[in-house]
Amino acid sequence: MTAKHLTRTKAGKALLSLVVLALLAVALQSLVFSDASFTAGSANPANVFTAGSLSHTNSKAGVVIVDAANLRPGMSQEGTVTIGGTGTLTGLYTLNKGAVVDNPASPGLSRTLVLLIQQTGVATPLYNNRVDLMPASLTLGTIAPGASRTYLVRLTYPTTAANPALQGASMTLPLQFAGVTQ
Amino acid sequence: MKRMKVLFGNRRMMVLLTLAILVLTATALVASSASFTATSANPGNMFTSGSLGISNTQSGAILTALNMKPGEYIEGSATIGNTGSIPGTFKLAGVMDTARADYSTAFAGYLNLKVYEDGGSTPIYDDTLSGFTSLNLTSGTPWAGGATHAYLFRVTFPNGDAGAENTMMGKSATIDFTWSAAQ
Repeated sequence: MTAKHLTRTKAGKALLSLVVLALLAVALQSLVFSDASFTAGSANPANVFTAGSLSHTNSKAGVVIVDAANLRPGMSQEGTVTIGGTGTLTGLYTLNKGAVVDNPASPGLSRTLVLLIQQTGVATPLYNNRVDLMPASLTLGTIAPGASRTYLVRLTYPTTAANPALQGASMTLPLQFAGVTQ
Repeated sequence: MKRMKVLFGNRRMMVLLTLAILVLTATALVASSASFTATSANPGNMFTSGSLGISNTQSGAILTALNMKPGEYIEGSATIGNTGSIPGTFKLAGVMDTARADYSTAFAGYLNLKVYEDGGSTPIYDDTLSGFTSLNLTSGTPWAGGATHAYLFRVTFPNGDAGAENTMMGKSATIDFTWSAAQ
């Protein structure tokens, strides 16, 4: 069947019409999608933000530094504690005094015992006075990641402060090391 | 003369000569059909397509901040230009890279992002890092070819009460910035 023959028959004309319509549809579609425009792009990927960390180790974590049982006038008991920076950030550390508990409350062992807190290798003590007079917080300074500091904690019962009323008395002094980022 | 007589005496020669004269005359007539003319030319009508391109002074990350601590901020800048020949509308888009193993939704939502345009004191964006999606730069006004604009980015790790950000320690957030232009 030739093209000439197709155009002459009804079926042929119908087929031709369909072909024309199909071509028109394709042309129209290309018109619809031809509204392209110029575009351009540039990227700055992988902008990363990471929070650091501040943490420390405590060689006496959760346990007493000084167990001064059976103290008597003229006697001292001492212990050491080492604080080490383990985070990624340097911290400014303080030693905070918790609530002192005297038993009995009066006359109070804390008003008799002398507390010495001193960083090893440093001549000047951080504190050296009666327990009850210790400020709520002592500034220890900065501890960088990987660095450490050791502190001597000594309790002394001065001979001059001997008081028979304190026989069998006890005292608890909670201490807390805390660091904040600077 | 005798030679001429011979020539013109020959009939065939006479016919040939006549034809030759006729051809010459016809040629002269054709060539003499002159008339007034005038021309004017507009040559070299060129049609070139315009172009739209982006220059970016930063090829990689604009900001990288490791070991941030509360209260700390980091700044970075990029200057973007239309290197094309036609005006374009520029946009900045941001997508959080949540696929990274160390990505923290909480941290990304805690960090603050400010974007300043052309040294302005009022940021064109001031909200959480993770809340950034896209910005119409210079308020959507098309940039002419050759125009450039500078952008300053500042990401701040807010500082609340002591210990308030402890849950953010070691967390990470990553954002990919993409500049785009359309005519």
